[in-house]
Amino acid sequence: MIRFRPLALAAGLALSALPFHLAVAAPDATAIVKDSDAAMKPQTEKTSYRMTLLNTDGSVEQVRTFTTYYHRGKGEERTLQKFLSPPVLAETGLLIVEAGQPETETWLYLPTNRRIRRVAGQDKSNRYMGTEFSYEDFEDYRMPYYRFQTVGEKRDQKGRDCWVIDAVAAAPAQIAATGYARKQYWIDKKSLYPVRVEYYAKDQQLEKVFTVHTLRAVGRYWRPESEEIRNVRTGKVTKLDILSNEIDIPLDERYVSQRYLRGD
Amino acid sequence: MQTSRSTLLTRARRDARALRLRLLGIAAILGMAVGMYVGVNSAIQALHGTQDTYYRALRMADAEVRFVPDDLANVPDFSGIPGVQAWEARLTAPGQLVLPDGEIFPTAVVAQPLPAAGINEVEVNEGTPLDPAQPDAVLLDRNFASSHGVAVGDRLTLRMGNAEYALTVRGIGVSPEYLIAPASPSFFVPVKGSMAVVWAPIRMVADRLGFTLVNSAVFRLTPEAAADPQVLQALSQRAEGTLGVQEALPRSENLGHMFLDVDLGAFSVFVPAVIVVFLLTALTVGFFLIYRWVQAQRQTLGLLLALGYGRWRLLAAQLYPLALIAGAALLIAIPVSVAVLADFALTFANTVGLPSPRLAIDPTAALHGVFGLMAAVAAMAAWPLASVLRLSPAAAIRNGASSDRDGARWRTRLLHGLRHRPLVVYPVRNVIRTLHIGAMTTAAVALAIGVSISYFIAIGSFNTAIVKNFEDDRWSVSVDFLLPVWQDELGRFRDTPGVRRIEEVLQGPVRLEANGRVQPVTVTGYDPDNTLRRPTLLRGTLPGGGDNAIALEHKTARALGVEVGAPVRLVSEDRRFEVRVAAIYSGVVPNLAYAPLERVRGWLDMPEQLTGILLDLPDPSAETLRHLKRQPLVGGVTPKSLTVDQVKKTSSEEVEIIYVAAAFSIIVCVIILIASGTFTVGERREQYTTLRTIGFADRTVGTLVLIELLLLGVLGAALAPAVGYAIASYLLSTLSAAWFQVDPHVGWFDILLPTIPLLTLLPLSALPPIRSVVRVPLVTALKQRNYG
Repeated sequence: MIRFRPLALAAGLALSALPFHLAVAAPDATAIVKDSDAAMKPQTEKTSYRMTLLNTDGSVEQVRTFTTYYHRGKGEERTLQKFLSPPVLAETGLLIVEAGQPETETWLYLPTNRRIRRVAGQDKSNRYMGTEFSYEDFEDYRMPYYRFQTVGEKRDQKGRDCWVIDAVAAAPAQIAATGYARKQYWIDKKSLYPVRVEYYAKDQQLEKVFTVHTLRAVGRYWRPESEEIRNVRTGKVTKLDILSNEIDIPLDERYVSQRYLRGD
Repeated sequence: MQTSRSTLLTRARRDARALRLRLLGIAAILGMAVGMYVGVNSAIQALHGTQDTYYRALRMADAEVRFVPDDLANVPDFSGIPGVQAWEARLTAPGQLVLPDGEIFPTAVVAQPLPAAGINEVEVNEGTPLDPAQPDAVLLDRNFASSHGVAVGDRLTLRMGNAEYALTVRGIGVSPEYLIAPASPSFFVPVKGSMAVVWAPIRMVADRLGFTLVNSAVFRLTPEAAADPQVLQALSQRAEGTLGVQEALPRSENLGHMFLDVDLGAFSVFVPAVIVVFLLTALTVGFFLIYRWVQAQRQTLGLLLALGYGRWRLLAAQLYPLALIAGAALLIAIPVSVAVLADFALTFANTVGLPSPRLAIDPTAALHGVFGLMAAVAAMAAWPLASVLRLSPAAAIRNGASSDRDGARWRTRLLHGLRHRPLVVYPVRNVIRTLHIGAMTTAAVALAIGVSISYFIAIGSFNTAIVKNFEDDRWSVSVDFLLPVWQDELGRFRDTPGVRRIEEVLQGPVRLEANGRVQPVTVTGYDPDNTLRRPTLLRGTLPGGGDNAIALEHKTARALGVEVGAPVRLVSEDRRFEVRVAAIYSGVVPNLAYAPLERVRGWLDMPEQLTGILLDLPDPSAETLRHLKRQPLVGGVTPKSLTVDQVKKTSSEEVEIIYVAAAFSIIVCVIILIASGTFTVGERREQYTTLRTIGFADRTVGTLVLIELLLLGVLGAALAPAVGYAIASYLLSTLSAAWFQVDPHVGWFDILLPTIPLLTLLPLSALPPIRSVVRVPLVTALKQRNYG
């Protein structure tokens, strides 16, 4: 679950304090996930990223920049991501619409073919634009469609105390679409931010690990400053550095529209 | 016995010498027919053979799956599918090539992995193959390079997507995938130099993207798998697991492959009909000649039978001239076939940009030709020679010639009416008295010229139909975009001076399923309220804006086994739609289908997008066309007039053959008339001697012969248009079934072009018969005492 969308956090601690403390008292997995979700999501957000593709030996394959726009409206959330550089990738974009349906609607725009293509369910486990992310990794918790279970509490490499929660697809559409047997979220008890996500392939082997290196407060939300996803099987890494972050700003809905996706 | 055999042979030789011109005439007709047959078939084989040779040598893909561009990492492994020998994923993308002089051309870019799997290899004619270490050094299609003088080492700029690539031409070559000059898929007309093909290492793109973007997987299959549609389906299904599959195509759907198949197939429709008519003519004349020859020998044959010669020995002796006919026909057929082969094959290859074919006579065609020749000679001689077997000595010695003098009342009245015109009445009487000979001669002339007329009608109608296909449309300029554009980007085109109207066009690949059959088609959207296109409807009506329906090309409908009103399933990537067939039309481009624009947008999931526009822009100036071509994302600007010219140019090789065939037909007619005249005049030599004896000048006698032949020739020429029309109708109905609807369209040119030379040459055909009468000194003729 990569927060290209409002990777919000417990700047909303005050906001989420109650559920947080309730969660502490009774660490029910679904409740923790729900609190985490609520703690992260503002009304609008605009974030600029630097993405670095690293080869197995640590050498840099490519450096990219992109911007994400998030807008929460009536009954739906929209996140639009658009590459700015390098020039060959400029205008490439992704639009994710979460409207409470069994399947998230995902649209990809490639200037190479100037088409807005709906990414079908079975394609959501595909690798995205040469990164170690899949389209599915951009989705949020999708709470109604997963079964959550607390498997323990652990301290991550950065010394953060976390709840460790397994998520297994429960709804038929999600079972069909997901490329994973399960995901394991490490949710920071302090920020309610998922600071580590382990992705287990269908063969139950660990495939990828997403790690948030550092978190910082942005207004009343927590946001990562740096994060990465590592493919355990290939050793390749996609690293993200947040260059700027604006939360709950006036954001016109057109920034999360198909028209903006294709470059209007 | 030896003596008697040699006596018979000597006699047969003597007869053959006397008949040499007539035998040569028959041999010429047969030789030309066989030569045409062998030559044209060899040319078609040579052209297909060139295609096959390149396919084999460069390992043309047996199948291709095209999908929405995706990361190579998402392409599934196809190796496990039974029948797959090799496969590779690649990127094929449209682009623009900017030449050093600034001119811009639409370009197909094929970015392939290196080392390659050995599918769709490029034969490098100049320069060196691709090197993965030099991603910006590319290969260029030889047709484009030669048309624009691009050489190895030249530097070009390629625009593709948002990127611009500075390229160096590393080599110039040919690939089986683009064996003929690339054709605009919209018009199915290959135009050399109109579009470039660039082959590049996939790293050229991947290095900039940071990953390997691909949108096509090509496959080499076992022969069994290549012929099995289930394998193609399995490849498509495997791809659908992770990719947005747009098309799964067998080799036969390659545009160049389809063009060669359809165009040569259309021409080959004409070949058997042409040959049959040639053979019919030869049979008619040959039968007539041999029959008359046998009749002339009845008394001699009867005498020989009475002297004890066996029938079979007599028959064997008669075969001598037939052997001469066959031998001479073969000698004539050889140069004719070589000439036709070279002319047709080289002209065709040059026109469509195919590499020069290896010219060789096709052994199968040659064998068929030789057997056909033998069969034709046997057929023309069978009945006359069988009469030798039935002949009794007594009947033979009696003059068996039948009397033609029992005239019907119409004949008497006709001759009475002409009694004051002696120069007319005598030839007419002769024609009437030998009516069956006259009828055969007239029929043969009508057939021979009719065939020629039919070629002109057929080719003229073919061209007219193609041209009409375009001319009925009300657009004058077609603009194809390299990539889809949005409606709100059309403003710059609306501002083009002189534009009266713009129709948006959206085309894309879909799959149609019906009756358990699958057919890939390109569906084209049109404005249902007022389209500038006019497909030639065969049945049904074009779907209106609200109709969930489609118009299918008639071969597509046949392949799917559907008719108007039938339901079909339309599959676009992972989406399925149930639609109805509203119309069946006839079109030049195979596997094209039409539907209302908004409906197509829905099927292709491309709302507000278009892939081209049709402009109602009368008489566009060169400057206007340049202006259109300079617009962003414009791949091609095609004025309708240019397309029509290219269609005419492409069919010019067929027209050349038709001119040759017409010349043959005229020669055949003259030979027929000479043969007929020489016989009938020979039969009446005594009568001409009588006329000369009573004071008719040789010139007058010659005029009588000339008028008789003119009568037959003109009558044959008069009947020829009807015969030609009938043959053309048959040829075109066959062609329509094989390709697109072509109705017979007769022009004066079609009739006059073969007829006028014939009428001009008619008097020449009278010269040999006249000479045979007047060259005999009167004294000699009188001494024969067989006159009056």
